[in-house]
Amino acid sequence: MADLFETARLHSAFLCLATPIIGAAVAAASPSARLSWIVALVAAGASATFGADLAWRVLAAGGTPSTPVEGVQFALDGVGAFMAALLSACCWLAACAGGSSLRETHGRGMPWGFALMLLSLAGWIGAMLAHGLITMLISVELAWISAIGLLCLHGERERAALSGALRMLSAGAVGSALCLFGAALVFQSFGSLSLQDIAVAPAERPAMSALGFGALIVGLAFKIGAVPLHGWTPAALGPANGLSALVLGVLGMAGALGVTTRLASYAAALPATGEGLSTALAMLGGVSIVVGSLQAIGARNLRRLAAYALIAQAGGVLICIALGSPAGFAAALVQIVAMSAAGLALYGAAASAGVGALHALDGLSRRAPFVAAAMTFGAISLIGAPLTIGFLGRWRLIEAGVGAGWWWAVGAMTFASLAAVFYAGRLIERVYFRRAHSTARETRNPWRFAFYPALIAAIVVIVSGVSPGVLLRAADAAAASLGGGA
Amino acid sequence: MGFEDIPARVASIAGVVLMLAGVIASGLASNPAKRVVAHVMCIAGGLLAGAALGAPVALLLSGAAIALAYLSVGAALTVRLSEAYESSAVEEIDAANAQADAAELQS
Repeated sequence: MADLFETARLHSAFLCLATPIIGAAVAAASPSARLSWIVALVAAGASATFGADLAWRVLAAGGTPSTPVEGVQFALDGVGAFMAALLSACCWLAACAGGSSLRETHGRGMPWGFALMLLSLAGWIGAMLAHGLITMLISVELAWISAIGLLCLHGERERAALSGALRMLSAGAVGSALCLFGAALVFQSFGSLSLQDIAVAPAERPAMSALGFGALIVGLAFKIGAVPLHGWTPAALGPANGLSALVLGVLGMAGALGVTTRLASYAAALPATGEGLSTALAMLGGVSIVVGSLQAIGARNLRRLAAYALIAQAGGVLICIALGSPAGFAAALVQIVAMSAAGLALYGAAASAGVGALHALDGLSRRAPFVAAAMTFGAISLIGAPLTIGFLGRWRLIEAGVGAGWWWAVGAMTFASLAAVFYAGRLIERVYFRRAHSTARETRNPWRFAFYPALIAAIVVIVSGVSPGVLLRAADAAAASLGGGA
Repeated sequence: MGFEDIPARVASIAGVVLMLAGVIASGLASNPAKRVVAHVMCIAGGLLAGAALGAPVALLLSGAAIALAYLSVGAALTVRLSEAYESSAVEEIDAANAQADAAELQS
């Protein structure tokens, strides 16, 4: 038994990737929807366990754990290990919420839904552990197209989801084209597409390498939903159901940001590439913060509000990446965790309460007090209130920005927090200080089980803010073992 | 710049132009089917430019597989959209969605 355990640990990177793929196949072939849900829970949970073990070994133990020489090749770096663990944990929470969709859809199509969710997770994990750019790009596309398929499944109940899926397809196609072109330019410059070769080899054509990485980052920015490339986000997330919103809005956005962080960690160390990339990321980040915040203020649909708010958060992550320093990358990872927790809380609470339009939040605290509390925790984390993880992320960004002399970044995050006071405050005001318009009794919403991941995310929001030691040490350790040695 | 570089440079420029044309066409397309074709055009442009730059065969094959995936998903989505909206015009689909949003806000 001990030997089996050690063998599993030796192959934890492979198992973290393989369990969702195998789980997807088994879920799709399951004769019943309930069985497919159980398979999804087991597969996502196993992936989360292996991811956590991998992250522990890479971050806590230090250095790169040995991997078998034969078989699938991985490049294990701090960012990849950190994000693999985070993404698999987020997917497990989404899978927990997915159980309530069995009642909503009467099980129709759900085996495929869970299979696509697991494939999306596998894609993002593959991108985090990829050895080369080709594997990374294929993994990203697997994740993206699987998420589109999951959204399309909801199109039977909500046809606007199909329209959102088409926009996602457009964004994905343009992003893919740019990524392929960027990878070709990187190959021209370095003569290799292996990330470890890129990290150590000098660029023969620095300008081409800068252009290549720029194209890759812009291609990924489509998938992040960074402004002005975010046209698909409200169209896809607005009509999405609970499971789709969690997979697209939390898993997808965190995955795309994680891949961007990882790629930038290799590029930041390159002399000719780092500066140009930094400028591009800073611009994308600044514009995303401003426009995302303003659009969140004007949103009248809860999921769209959450989508715009998370775009603004993603802008903060891009600015952290743009700093190009270990402090910046550590701040980016903390921000991604904060964003994921807030997203889980908001989308999960929205699904549990069956709320679409903002006015439906009126009086939620009386109808569903725990759901209201979870939504509130997510909202105050978006504001960046002290003792929340959102405050932690912003603080780390401001620290890193001041250290690099980027005072404009401090201004941008201050603006984001002030804007969040408006839109998150509006949520809290409706939930606690308004009465419901309808006097109808609350129906037993099938999505109420979606509350449990939201509750866990809300607990993470608070606990990480009060006692942030573990998270901060993990993020610092991840940034200290960057792929490119930045 | 040697003369032997010219065809490669022309091909890479053509690839970039095709990519841009695909992006513009995707934005202006009046129906989902045309939009899907524009997507494939965009990816093909990226591949053409990459091939001209000497990208490895593995990257080109991967790109081709990605293009095929987008074409397949796009075709299926086009059929689903026309069934759901009983229309193939993007404008009518967007108008129907806007109407549904307005109705949700008023409910």
